[in-house]
Amino acid sequence: MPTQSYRDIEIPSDYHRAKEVEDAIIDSAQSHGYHEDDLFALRLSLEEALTNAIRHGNAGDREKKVILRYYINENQADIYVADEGPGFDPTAVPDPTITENLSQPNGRGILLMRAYMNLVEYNDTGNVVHMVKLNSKP
Amino acid sequence: MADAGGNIQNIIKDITREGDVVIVKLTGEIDMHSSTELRGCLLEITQERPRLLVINMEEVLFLDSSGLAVFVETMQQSRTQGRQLKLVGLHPRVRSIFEISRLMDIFQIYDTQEEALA
Repeated sequence: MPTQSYRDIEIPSDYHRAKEVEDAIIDSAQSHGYHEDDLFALRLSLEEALTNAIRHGNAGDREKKVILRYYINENQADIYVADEGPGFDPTAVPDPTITENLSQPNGRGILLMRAYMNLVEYNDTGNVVHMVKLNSKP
Repeated sequence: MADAGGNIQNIIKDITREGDVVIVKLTGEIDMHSSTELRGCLLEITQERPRLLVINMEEVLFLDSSGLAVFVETMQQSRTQGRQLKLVGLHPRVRSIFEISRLMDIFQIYDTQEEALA
């Protein structure tokens, strides 16, 4: 992860703490004048990334941390979410939009992140997701 | 933008029963906090085996994949029982999540509660 002018936050695997961080990032984006659609996209993608980190990456283990590194300016929000899990292969996740998978309850988080963010990429291990959202501005 | 919320008290606005039809009116945000409790509530209702379960989402402004999972699971439960599940009044941003996920193909979605009940 790059270090320059990023803000670092470390939280336990806890949904309430995750929500606090999420709200802080959304508030920051709002103060930089992001469009409502961009705020929705950021909220959704943060929700998915943090849920994945807590539930799947850290397997709900509160002893394990979730680390966020981000910066937001008037042009873009650049966010890394890392967990302490073993990682996964995002290319191996079944496509939830093919007909035989439509009735599966789970597995749509990455699809939504990719649909709503301008960039979503994982490190080689698969335990760090990097997301970028450009401010579309009115 | 956030409408606060994030707990079951805010999510379930109202539950009405009209014969063998149950109408659940939701409000607020369906996220990592509220989806677990929402799941429990809807599965409890499907155990009543209503002929028709209508979920009114006119006041739902946010939904994530955990919320989608709750609706897919509820739909499966209803189908297994030979019952119907209808969703009503999706906000445009919520609708786009259903569209991206191709879930418009498998859910019965109506603009108004009256249409769903007709």
